[in-house]
Amino acid sequence: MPVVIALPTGRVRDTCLDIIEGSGMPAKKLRNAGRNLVVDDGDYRYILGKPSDIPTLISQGLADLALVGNDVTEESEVEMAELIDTGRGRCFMAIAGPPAVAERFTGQPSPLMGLRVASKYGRMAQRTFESWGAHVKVLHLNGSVELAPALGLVDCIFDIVQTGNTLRANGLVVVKRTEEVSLRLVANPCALQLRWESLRDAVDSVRDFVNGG
Amino acid sequence: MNITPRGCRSIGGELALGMEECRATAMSMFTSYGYNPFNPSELQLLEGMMKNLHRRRRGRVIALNSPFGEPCCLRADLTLSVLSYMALHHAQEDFPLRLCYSERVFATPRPPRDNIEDTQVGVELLGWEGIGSDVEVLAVLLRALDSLGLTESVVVLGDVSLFPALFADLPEGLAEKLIELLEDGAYYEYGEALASSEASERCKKILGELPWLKGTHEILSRAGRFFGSSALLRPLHEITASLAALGYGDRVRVDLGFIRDLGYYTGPVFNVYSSGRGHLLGGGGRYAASLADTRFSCQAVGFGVSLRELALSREARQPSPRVMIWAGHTSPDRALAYAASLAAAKSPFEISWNADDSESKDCAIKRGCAWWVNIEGDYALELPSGRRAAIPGTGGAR
Repeated sequence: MPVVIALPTGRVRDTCLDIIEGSGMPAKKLRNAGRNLVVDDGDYRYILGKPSDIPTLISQGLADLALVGNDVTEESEVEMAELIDTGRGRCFMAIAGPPAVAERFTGQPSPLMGLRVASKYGRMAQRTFESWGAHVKVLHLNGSVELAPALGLVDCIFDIVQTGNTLRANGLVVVKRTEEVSLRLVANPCALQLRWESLRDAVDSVRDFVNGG
Repeated sequence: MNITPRGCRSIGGELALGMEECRATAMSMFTSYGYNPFNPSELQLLEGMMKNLHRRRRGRVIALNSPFGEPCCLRADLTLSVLSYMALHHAQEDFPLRLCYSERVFATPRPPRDNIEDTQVGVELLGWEGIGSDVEVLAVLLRALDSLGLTESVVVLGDVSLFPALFADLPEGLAEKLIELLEDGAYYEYGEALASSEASERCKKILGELPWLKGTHEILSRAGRFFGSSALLRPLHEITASLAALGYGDRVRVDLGFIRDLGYYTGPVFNVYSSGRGHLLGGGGRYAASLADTRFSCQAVGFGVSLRELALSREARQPSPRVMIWAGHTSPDRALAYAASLAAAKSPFEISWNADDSESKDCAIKRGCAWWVNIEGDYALELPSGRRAAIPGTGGAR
């Protein structure tokens, strides 16, 4: 039985391939996968999926392990075991908006009440403002979130920020940095209980690689 | 017209049939071991539930008011219902007591699931302190799974009493934090919190390795050497040895980092899976019978497994050959007398009252029947080939 690892496509795909390769797992076929979304190589099967689908692949038992950002795992609220913070693919979650909106973030909840917030991360946004005691209106958008304040749709956004270039291009500034994000090695809790002996080598080799071993 | 709300499902067809087979087989097994059927109330008082449920499950309770204005919730936990019933109907002198059930439980689902209800079968054994009760309950579970054809099912054992013992010397607040992180599956943060703590180096080494002590029963010997004592692991040693002696050695695994609902459970706990690459069917463990504010001062062990998961995990079974009895030109009493003879032979059948024999045959083919029986003609047709066979016995129905 191969160890099945789910990997995200898109922005962090190459970083994930570097981790797989650096950890000594076979990656040649993966690099040349083309449009194939399932790649068998040696004792491993890789499944390539949209980042937001990775938690589903894990929770449904289709993958034993996965590399995925903690922004995705936290938004999904799916039960999974987080084994390693790889420290790779670093970025952060933040509230961003026009400079004027920053004045409302005084550390007190009352100026934030009724704020309209656009986000791809609806659950995280809700939880973040709730943890500050502020009741806000979260508008779920699937993309181009940065446009929403300029269109007058919302007061600010809650989004993942890598370089901040897109924010600046849309006249937005980071108002509050809320959480660090990086690629995590996660596991299906059932696989962890049932097949730990089969997974241990892969987990240890990723740990050794990210720790510079 | 859809009248089923989101999060609920009405189950029919093969799955419903499979669930019923699983329920009947499991309940029959439980009662043969002396467990008495129990039929709890669908509503539970909210106050008792919120007081006794583990904090991680409280937020998932589905609250409502009864028509009498009492704050209630849909039954979120069967064990608490059992304990409450026992406290009202039995004294501790009556122990040990055994109950079994096949009932629904309700909870707000965690993504990506969206169902709020699940039917579980399970048992509770109250009032026996020894390891015998843990082994009995696990053996009953495995026997029931065997009889359902799930002969590759696997039990994963842990022991939540390890944690208070191993965490006793930690700085204040750290034990609670580490337990919460383990319960959340946050292994990385657990390691970081431990490494940056003021715990002793020996403590860090033992507790750092704890979540990774998973595998066959052999992991217990390794853990004993690691802990410097095997006394803590004696319950798991004894349970695994007994189950191995019963022939279940290769279907038992150990996970020393397995922690669930600490405070609710007090000793050995377990998950049960349909196979080594299968789905979680359910779980259980040892708890204090005082849990539901009862006057009992004893231990109890129980488990609950999902009927739906059981039915889905079994290999698809060829439905029994079904007979369509054509009674379109037959008197009801004669048709039902013949039907009774098939029922006595445990041969599934259905009666067709359609006056048109060809429509009746078409219906039998659509439903996958293996035989279409003409009582008046004393013959049966094999479907779909149409091969004709004489049927002895219809005369007896006359």
